[in-house]
Amino acid sequence: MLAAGPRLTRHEVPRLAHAWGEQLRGSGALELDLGALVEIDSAGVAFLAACRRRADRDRRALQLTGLRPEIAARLELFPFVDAPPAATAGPGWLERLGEQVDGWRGWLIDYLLLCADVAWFTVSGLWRRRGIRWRIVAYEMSNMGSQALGVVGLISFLVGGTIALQSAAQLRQFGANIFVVDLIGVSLTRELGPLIAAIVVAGRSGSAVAAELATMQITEEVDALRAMGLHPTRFLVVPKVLAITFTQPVVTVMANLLGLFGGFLVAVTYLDVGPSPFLGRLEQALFVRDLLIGLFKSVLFAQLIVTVSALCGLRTRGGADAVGRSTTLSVVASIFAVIVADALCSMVFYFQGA
Amino acid sequence: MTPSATVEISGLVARYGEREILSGVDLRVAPGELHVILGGSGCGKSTLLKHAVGLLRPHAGTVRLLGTDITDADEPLLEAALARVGLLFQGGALLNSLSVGDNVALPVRERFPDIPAPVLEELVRMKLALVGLERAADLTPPQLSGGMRKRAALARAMVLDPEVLFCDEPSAGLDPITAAALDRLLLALRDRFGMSVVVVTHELASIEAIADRVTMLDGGRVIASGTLTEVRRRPEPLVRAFFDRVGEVAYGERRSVLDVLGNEGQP
Repeated sequence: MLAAGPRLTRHEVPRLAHAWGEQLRGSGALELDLGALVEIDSAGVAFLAACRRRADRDRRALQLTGLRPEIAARLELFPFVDAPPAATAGPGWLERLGEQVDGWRGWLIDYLLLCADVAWFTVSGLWRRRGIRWRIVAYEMSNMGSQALGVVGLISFLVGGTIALQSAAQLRQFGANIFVVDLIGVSLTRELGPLIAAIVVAGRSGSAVAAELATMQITEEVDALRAMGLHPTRFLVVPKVLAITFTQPVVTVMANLLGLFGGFLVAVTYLDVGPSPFLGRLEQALFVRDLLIGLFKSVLFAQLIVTVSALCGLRTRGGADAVGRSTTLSVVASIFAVIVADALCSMVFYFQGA
Repeated sequence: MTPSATVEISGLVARYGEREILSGVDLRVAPGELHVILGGSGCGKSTLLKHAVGLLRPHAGTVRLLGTDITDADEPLLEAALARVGLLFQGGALLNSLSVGDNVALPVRERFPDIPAPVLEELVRMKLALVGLERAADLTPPQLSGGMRKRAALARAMVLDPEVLFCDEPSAGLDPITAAALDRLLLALRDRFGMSVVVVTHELASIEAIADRVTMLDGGRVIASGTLTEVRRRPEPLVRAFFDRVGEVAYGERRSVLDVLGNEGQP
């Protein structure tokens, strides 16, 4: 027989659970003497319920004795709930893999549909009155473009200087200091300029696009637009795509110029390359083709960032935490998409001899 | 010692910046009483509720909660007082990242980490059963309807056996059947557990169903207080307008489009 003291509340339950543990795990009929009990709270009732469930599971008889009427009345207040049925076995690995693949297929189809909508509404919007919200495009251009110039410029300047410094040690050994200009010029204009600008914009503007659309989705603003006969893609996504299409080449050109300036400073001050030889060599090393490839990539990356981020935002379901998840996903997915696209572009241009 | 009033507010003045929201409000809630604070939108009901539980500090006046003066109480004192209080927020305020069961278990896990897991499971099951959600423990809040979310939030508010329960607009946005079920639940808490319940609402049906006493606010002042029958008999135009649902008295004359256009074309 186990006897409880005068109080059985959340303060006493841990101690009592520890003290009674052995006997509760034993066998045979079990009697709990509650004769001294004068105060019980819902944690105490839950403790008695847990004792009973344990006894039922071990097929032991459990008896509560000495209950005062007021305590019995208190116990009556709380329902003893049957345990929910044990969860059935979850899906196997093949089923889970299938679900995963199906999920990716859904994302891909939605992405292609979004891109088709963006293309359709952009082209058709040019011929329709109020087809494109140019005022919003201008606002987004300021948001995504001019406000990103500072951070992109600073990072490019530092990267240009760093590449020059890192290559200096190798080039000096061969007396080929001047070739630092080729290295900086080609790598920045074709690869690093567009890539740096894209990664910064993905973190800065892509996340903002996803958070804005995700919030609108969970607060039913997107549904409200649909109900008013306004297509969310035309109303929300197209202005952002147009804005970034106009601004990203400018941001990339700025990234290129400041990266070259960083390299120029290191070359002139540390590698004994004079300003005139630097500029002369740059003119020989750079082709218009390199600049155009860089600009083409900047536009491609920009559109990838906005469409991927918009898709993450528009597919948001749930509450506030879902907005956070969508924002994080948009940054990861758009940077991943940019790097994959960059690799594909490099392969295509390499095999075409460009 | 049981305090003579679970909530005692006197001369409460609350301001947001320069704007005075409450001007010298008095409120007294007796133990085991279901007290309704009512009034039109923006009259300061929710602000009064937040002051009553110490979430906002008053500009002037005193607030006593379960015998403790929390007007300028430091954090430990306020925390001790709040441990005996349940609060049901307007939208439920469940944590979406946790299951319903984990939401209900959260206050116990954090305050009483030594409670064994099987006991906590029983406790959560019991509280969810009290609000009719015993099968919803594994669902997440976004999977629940508005009414279920409020009931789950009520289960969480009750998990530590509060002596007083504060509810901010419990039936707002709910259909009449769900709202009536929630009202019955609040009455059951008062009757079965002797809990004091303070409800902020402007739902007339709900007020009529549950109120022991009411305090009516307008423009940050108490304009009527007493039992529902007493307040209903008050002659003030706003009180009459509220209970008789006469919008024109409360909100002024409005002309409809038909008044402006005339009745041309009407049969």
